[in-house]
Amino acid sequence: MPEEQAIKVEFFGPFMDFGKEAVVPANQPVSFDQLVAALVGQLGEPFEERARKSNTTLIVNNRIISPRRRDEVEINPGDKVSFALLLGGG
Amino acid sequence: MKGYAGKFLRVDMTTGEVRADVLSEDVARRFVGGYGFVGHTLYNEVPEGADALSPENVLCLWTGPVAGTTIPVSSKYIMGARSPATGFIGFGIASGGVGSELKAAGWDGMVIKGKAPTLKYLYIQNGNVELRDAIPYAGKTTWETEELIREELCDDEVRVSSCGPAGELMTCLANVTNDRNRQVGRSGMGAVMGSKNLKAIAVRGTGSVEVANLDELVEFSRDLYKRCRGPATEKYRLYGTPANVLVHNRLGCLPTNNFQKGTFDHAEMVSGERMLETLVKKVVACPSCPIGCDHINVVKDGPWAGTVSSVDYESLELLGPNCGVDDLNAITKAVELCDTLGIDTISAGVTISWAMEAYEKGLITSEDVDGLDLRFGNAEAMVEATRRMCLREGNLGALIADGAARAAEKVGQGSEKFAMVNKKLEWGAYSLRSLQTATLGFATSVRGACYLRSGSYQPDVKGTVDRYHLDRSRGKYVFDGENLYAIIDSLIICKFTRGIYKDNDEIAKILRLVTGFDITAEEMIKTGERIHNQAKLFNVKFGVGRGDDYPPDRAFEEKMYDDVNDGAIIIRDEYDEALSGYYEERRWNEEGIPTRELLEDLGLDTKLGV
Amino acid sequence: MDAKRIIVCDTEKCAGCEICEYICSIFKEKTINWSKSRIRHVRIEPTFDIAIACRKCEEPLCVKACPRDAVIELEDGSVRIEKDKCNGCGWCIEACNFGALKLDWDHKSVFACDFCADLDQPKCVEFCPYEALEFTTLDQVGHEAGVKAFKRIIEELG
Repeated sequence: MPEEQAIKVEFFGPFMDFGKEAVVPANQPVSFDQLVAALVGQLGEPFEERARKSNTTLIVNNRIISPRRRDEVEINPGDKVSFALLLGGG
Repeated sequence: MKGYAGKFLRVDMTTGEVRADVLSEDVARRFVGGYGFVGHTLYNEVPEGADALSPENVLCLWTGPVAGTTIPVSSKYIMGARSPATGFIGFGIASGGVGSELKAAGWDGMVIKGKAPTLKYLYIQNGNVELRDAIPYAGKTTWETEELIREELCDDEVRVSSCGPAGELMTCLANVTNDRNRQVGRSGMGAVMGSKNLKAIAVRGTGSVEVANLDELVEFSRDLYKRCRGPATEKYRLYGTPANVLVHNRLGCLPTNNFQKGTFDHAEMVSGERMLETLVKKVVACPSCPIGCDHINVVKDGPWAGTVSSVDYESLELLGPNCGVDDLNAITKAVELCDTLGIDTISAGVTISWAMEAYEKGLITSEDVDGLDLRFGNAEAMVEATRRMCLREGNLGALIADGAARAAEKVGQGSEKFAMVNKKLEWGAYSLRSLQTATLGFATSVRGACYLRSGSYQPDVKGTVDRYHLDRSRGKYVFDGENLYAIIDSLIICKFTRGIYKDNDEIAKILRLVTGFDITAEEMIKTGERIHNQAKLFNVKFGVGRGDDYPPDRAFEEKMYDDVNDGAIIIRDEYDEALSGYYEERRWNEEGIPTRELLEDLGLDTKLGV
Repeated sequence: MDAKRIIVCDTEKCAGCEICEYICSIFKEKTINWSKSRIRHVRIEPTFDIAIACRKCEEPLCVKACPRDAVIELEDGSVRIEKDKCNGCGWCIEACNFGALKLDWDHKSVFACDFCADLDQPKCVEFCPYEALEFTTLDQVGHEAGVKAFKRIIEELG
């Protein structure tokens, strides 16, 4: 699949229970909800619950998407998305 | 006055005299405890011009009102003194059992002056306090010292804070260790102990900790324990702070090769996830902690088999990726060396990475580094450099034992520009150019290069602001963070719990339930502002100025290129503007000196105001 | 053997937070004072933690050891310290194989766990944030261990 027709997803932390990475085919921009739905299709129901926890951090193309803006974000074919745990200090 | 023991110790190391002093309610209300008491004590009691390693310096240790209570992660204490590393205010907060035990022994803290004629340790058992001979413990590691003192006193429940050989050698970056894995890490408090011939403080208390409203406190604690097992702290519970490694790498803010880059090719080799899978043997908690962030590594094989240490993100990152090292066993070993021999891991990592860069650039010779192949990525050389640094051994030890800034002063040739320090203290594990609000917060911190004073990386990593640029408005984030963190550090509660509180009033509620003081969230934050300014005034007393609030030159002069960043740099004009914005928010002048009007408003000494 | 319920500690879960000790002193002594706790946390460095309370032994050595008959075995298997008889000599503490008794410094007596007899379960168990403490019988502990072990084998065999 050419890169521009897919969204590359990588998993950190407890998301790694679902694998290291995934590829979601897409030929137009998708919302966060659509992305999660596509991943649930690949990875199973438990991903839904994990992804919707309040401490999920979404990173799109090396930038953290603030949880407030998660519903507005458009993820484009060719984008690189990461699922991680909430960042805080070390 | 509930929550407080109401009294503290005054120890004169020179004469050996120990006496009790009263903690006034006025000081308790105005400065809360912990960090607030450190600022208050040091500002009032360290004589002008007193050298940090002279008997005139004052070493204080304080708990806060919540120490010894059921509030989550409240068993904490702080040590403070004029820092031998920065020359400004020095302090560090540690968890473990010392804070709660001291409260149970009936003391809020202690103020230690002078210098003992021979090596001593302070033993506090409830009201019985004495300086005892510590000559048998000279040169012992912190872990040995803990064990040996318990054996001597025939009491396994004694809690011990001690400095290692590095502290006895008065190495500027020497730390203090208690309960094996907890450290008063930054700014050289171990060196100040060493300078006073104080090897350790051993505490045993069997008294009760009195609070104003026990029933409500317990119910609130029960609720908070549940929240501590929820999503806000999941990261700490599962992986501990090393969970940051892969995320920081993805964001391009994982300092690599002495902060030259923000991504590390082998990040997966040193991730928290990998550490949990391959090295973590056990999660341990501090007293009163329902989270358990402390992940104990045990190295199973290879040259460092048998090594045991608790590895946090900062330690892992700075001794690992920042030295180009991708070997978790080696990192675990270096942390063990730092903890037992007594040097701060952050300073160790950043100093060694400076030496690696200087070596690769040919600014220091093979002879200067005792023939070590001190290139980025050489794990064995990193471990050996750590050991030499801790023990001030060989040419390398002599060069780097007092940190990157002092080493660069000796070497010159432009190596000062890549000594990653602020106020001569080494930078935390957050890259400068791809986290610019963080950089402003670190560089303006009173302790120097400090990631713990304001959490100023948060607007950057959370995407609240453009982290690749600065503007005048950023000071507000630092200001708000500092005032709140001043309270957290004065109560003292663990910052890893900050996500469990719904709002600041819940933190004020802790203060109300424990002390009985009728204080609103707004008054509490104002108190935080007072506490922060008191600490700042100490720095003013010792000559701090605008020039001390800048990051190292690398941030302005070299563009950062890596997998994520394409020429990230801090524009000097933007930084100047952000710094002025911060001063304005703080009501300080353009030199960063508090105005008299502000000091009057906060009820602080106005003598040094402008 | 009667199904005696005791406080068991899962040492893999116990992180050594000592919240059990705080809570015990609060509910038993109305104060925060971990040296007055009936349950005792022990850490063996670097990686072992356990909390220990009375084991309800069949023939309690603490009862036998007391020279003043101040340690009384109750029907449920726990022991009560008769404070007016006890002078805090501590022979019972020495006799206990588990370190489950503790000296009461203030009253020249000894603390022994009563399993919060008036409640459904001991307060320490209720509060333990790591869910390491359980109020259960040794039979049940054995059963659960068996289930756990065989679940793993079944999973491995697919």
